[in-house]
Amino acid sequence: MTCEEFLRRLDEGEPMVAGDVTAHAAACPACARALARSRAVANELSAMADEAAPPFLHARIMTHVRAGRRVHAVRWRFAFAAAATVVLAVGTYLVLRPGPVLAPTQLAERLSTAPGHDYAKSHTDLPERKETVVGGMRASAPVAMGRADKAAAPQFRRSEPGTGAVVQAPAVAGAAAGETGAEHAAAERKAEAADQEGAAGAVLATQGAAPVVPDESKGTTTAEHAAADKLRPAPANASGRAATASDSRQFSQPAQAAQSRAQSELAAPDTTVCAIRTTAGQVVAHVALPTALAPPVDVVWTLVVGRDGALAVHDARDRPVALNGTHLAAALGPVRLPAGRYTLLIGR
Amino acid sequence: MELLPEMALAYAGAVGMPWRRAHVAPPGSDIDAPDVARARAGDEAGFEALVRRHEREVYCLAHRMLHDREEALEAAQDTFLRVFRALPTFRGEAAFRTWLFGIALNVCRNRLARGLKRERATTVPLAQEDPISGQVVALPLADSALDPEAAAGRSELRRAIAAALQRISPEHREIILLREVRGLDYDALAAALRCPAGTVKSRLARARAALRVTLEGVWP
Repeated sequence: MTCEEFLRRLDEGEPMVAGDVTAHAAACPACARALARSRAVANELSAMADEAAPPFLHARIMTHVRAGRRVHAVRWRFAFAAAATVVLAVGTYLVLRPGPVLAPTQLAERLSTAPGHDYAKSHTDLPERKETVVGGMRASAPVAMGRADKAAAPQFRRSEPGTGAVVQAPAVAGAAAGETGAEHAAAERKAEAADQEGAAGAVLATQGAAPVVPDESKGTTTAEHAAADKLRPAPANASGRAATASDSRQFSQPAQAAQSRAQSELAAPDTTVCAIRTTAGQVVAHVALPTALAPPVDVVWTLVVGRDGALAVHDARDRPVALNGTHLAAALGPVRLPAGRYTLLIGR
Repeated sequence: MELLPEMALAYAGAVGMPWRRAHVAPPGSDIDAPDVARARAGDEAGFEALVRRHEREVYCLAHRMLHDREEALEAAQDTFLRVFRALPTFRGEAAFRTWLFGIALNVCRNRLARGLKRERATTVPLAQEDPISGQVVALPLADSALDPEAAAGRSELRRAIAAALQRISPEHREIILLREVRGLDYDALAAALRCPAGTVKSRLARARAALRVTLEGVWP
């Protein structure tokens, strides 16, 4: 056995009584000394177990534990109270909150898969005929304000739930400033062509053909009346649903105005036509809301459209009002407004 | 050859090795079990009995680990407070004493990690108010039992061992203290140190070697 092996066994705590171990210890004074020291150290370490502690140790420990227990209990009480508050708040919200708010796209999707997927019939709180005139505008980009922005201008689309046809309308704000009557006429001709096509699901995009948009304060033009006549819904067909051929036409701003007028004519007596405008004052859609839920006269409410399409309405003090996203989503139908803030007020 | 704890204990006694006092606690024989059950049921007397039974060895372990009286006192306090809070989660898979030592070591490790000795005033209090009775209790002086190495009758070897223990790593120190001073067997060591039994053996061998080599320098 080598000294290295002897010390390894010693450190591993093996009983140093084997024949080869004792023989090596007898022959090697260094290893014999290491063995003797190891035993002495082990004895002394073992005796350390009897060391005394301070006389006040017990009292200190118990005082500390009792104090810690009180703190612990207070913490638990606080945590419990906080958790109870949160649960109460969430429960109250769940109980008092309005019905589920569906984004317009979700609503349209749900309606399109429903039997018969007649949007107007599936919403009893809105008159059937209203859909034809309320059929909203869907914008695929934030509202553009100027002619220079026309390329990126929002293209408000009107979707006809029954046919799925989407009619794209040009931006309406500053674009109107420089448009000519010829351009308007071209757009009208295009709309007529679309009428003749009449195919459900057709998408007619006429970017850059924005017609003249008259200042609303100046009233409407003859052309607008003509457009309104065209937009006035056809008599309901056998299925009770308005004809959709004229829906697949391109919208122009005059047409929108005419639509609003027609809407007001056709709206049920218990509904009120409200305009949705951008914060810059540009009308993007009209909706017929139950009168009880519409904003008071000359009071401007704020419509907030979330990125997920969720709708919320706030009053002038930015408080939620009874007209919630569900009502508005029902009125808007499958229309999707770009995320942002809009104003909502009675009239056009 | 691997010795079972019972065999090792018998063998150690037979060959005159009293330092090999293995802490053998057969299953179900944990003397702390009744008090643990009482304490878990909310009986403070049960918990106090546990404190009374183990406070001294917890304090001594902390003192050897931290080499500071006040630190050791606070470590002992923290240890029992943690035990009190964790008692509902104690499942009895190891003996209460083993579990207690594991917690005490964790407390000591945390204190070592924070910086073993906090800056203290150079003055040493000679008395301290008892937190319960309010009486002023005279603190033992340096040559009393609170400072074992300075106590009368202590051998030069013990002082050398104490010095050597402070020079080896905390990892080696804790396993030496648990095994050689507190007499935990390998299984209990593995439970207290939360490592496999094989690791315990190798770590213990390295710790003994480190202590032996260090002692060569302080106890020629």
